[in-house]
Amino acid sequence: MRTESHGRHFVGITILLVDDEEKLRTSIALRLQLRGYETVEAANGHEAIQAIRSRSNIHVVVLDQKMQGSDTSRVLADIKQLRPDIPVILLTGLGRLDPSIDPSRKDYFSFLEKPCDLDDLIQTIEDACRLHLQHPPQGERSSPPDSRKRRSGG
Amino acid sequence: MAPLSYPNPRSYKDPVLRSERYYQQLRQRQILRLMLTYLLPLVVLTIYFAFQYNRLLVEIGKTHLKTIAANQADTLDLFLRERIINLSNLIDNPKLQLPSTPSAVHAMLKTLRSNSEVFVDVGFFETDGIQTAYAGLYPQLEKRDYSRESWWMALKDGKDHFVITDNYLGFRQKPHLTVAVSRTINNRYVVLRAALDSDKVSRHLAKLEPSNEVYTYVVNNAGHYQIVTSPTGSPLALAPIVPPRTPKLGAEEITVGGDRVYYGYSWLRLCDWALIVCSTKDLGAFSAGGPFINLFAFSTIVIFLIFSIIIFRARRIVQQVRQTDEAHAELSDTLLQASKLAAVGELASGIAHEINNPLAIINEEVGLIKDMMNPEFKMSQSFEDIRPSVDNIQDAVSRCREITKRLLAFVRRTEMNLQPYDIHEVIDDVLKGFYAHELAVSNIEIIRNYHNKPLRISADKIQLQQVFLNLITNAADAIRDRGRITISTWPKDGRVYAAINDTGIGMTQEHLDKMFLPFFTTKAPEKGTGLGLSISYRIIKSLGGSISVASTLGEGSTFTIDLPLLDEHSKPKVETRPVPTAALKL
Repeated sequence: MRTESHGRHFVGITILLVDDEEKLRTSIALRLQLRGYETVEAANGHEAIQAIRSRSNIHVVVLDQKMQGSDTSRVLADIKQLRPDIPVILLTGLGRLDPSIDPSRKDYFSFLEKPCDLDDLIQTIEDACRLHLQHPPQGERSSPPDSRKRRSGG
Repeated sequence: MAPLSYPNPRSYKDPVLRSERYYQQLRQRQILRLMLTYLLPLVVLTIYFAFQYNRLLVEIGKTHLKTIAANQADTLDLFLRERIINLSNLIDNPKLQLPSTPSAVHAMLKTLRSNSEVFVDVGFFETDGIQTAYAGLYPQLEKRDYSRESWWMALKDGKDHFVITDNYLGFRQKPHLTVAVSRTINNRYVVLRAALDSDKVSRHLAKLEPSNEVYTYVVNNAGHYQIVTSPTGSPLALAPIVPPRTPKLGAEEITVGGDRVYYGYSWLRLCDWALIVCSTKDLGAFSAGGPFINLFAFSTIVIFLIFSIIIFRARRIVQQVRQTDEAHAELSDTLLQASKLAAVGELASGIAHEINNPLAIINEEVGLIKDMMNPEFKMSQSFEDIRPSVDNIQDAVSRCREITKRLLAFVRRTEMNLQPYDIHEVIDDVLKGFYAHELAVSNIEIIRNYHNKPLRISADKIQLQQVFLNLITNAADAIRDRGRITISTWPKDGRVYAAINDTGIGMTQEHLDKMFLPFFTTKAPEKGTGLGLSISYRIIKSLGGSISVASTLGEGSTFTIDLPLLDEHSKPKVETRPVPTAALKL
């Protein structure tokens, strides 16, 4: 289902939601759809990889950090290997990054704490897409320039 | 997903204080050990040295008796030799007139009497065996023929020119000794004979005795008393002691009439007599009045002192052990609380995830309801459309509440209310109270394979019910479709065993390894928190028991609990005992 989006939003962004909590996943999906986003749902790492493989139009992945039966760091690495250009947003209930994920590798775009405000999630998704569009992937992902930081530093 | 490192509840040291009985046994063991260490060698050494000392005393005493016997035998030998010399002097006198006259013989007796008062009479033999001249108390002996007397024949046939006879009655019918010397004078065989008063010889011997600790007598080779110095026997009677012929000098011990008698003996040189010196008392150390009575009294006091010290020490040791145990219990209690806190700290992130998921659901459902209410999205606002979200919120709240409830149960330090129960009663209450309905509708058959008598345990009923509830719930959850739960109980070695066996799906080795960890669960998030088994484990540990598990994948699992069996004396007053039918007929 598609509705007219707000003017400030990117239109036609497809988001892959990966979470083993079905109720949570469907609610988020429904609310994102209400705001004009395309969603694809996956209940575990395996389904997520399947979705990445079968669909070329996924722009952002929102990945739950702790799922029954899935090794998130493995899933993250697999996604990055298949599609290094897709930014991944991690959702965590632990209040911190899972120790198995190496933050220095910059495999993920950002991580948000559960429960998170939908507006924050949308903002992060928008930021990720904007960055992605400004810097289309060329093999290895370079570190994104931060204009604000440069300005304040200069 | 990396597994979180929860502290293993099996490493918790539960502060279970030891029973009074344990300390009693410990004290008894300590007393026994200390006695074995200190008293036993002392007693053994005392006895050993006592026997050695006794043996030494006996040896010394016997040597002493032997010395006395040798001295007295020498003296008696010398005495008898003197008598022979007295006679020899008379017969060898160059002025001797032959044939002798009565006056000459009386003169001889006078001379002999002056030599020794033991001489009774004297006789002169000039022709074979006929006493030709006599002086003394028995004049009827004159002209008597002695040729058939044994002493005469011994003197005549013997190499020696003298003879000393055994004590005998002879013609005069009075005990006496005969000494005689023979000579050949002018081709005539001449014998001078004298009788010795054996009583006087005895008195002479008695004067030689150094003390009243010994008494002396003389026996011949047939064991007849010859010279007796004490009222123990009369001359010519049979003596109880006949010393061995060899060695010539010795000391022996024999038992006479139940009394141990020590004696020294020495065979005389001049005649076939043995002089015997008997001790009037027991030479050994154990006799009445012996040195060991004092020694034993002293030893008893020492042993009693050591025994007191041992009991005191054992008490002190047990007291120290008890204090250490109490300190340890206190420490481990503190550690337990600390480890619980540490566990909680470790678990915080795990719990955060468990709670944050339902919170996230609530968050999203609330957001969804807001979206529905937002006219901008033009959505249906009917209650039917909102209801699934409300239900989801309700479920999520329940999940959170369950988690916090179990968590508090895990952390809370509860006072246990220990009472004696029959374990069957506890299990039955669980089955009746919680499962009567649930199990009836499911296809699970419950089999009670109980021991035929009540098995009494001490437990907090509520807590123990929680354990059985957890185990039976797990068993029921493990059964996918239909199956059987068998609950068996039995006593063994002072413990009560209860096994809950299910025909469910079983567990993998990984599950077996982790199942007692808090928050480890194989169940769906809304069905279990993973605290049940770890709480059960803690409860059983605190009751002094243990839980073990055996499981085969695809065949089922068996959880076995063991708890201490209550002692016999704490049995209930009312016993269900079958009444004998014979008694009923009466």
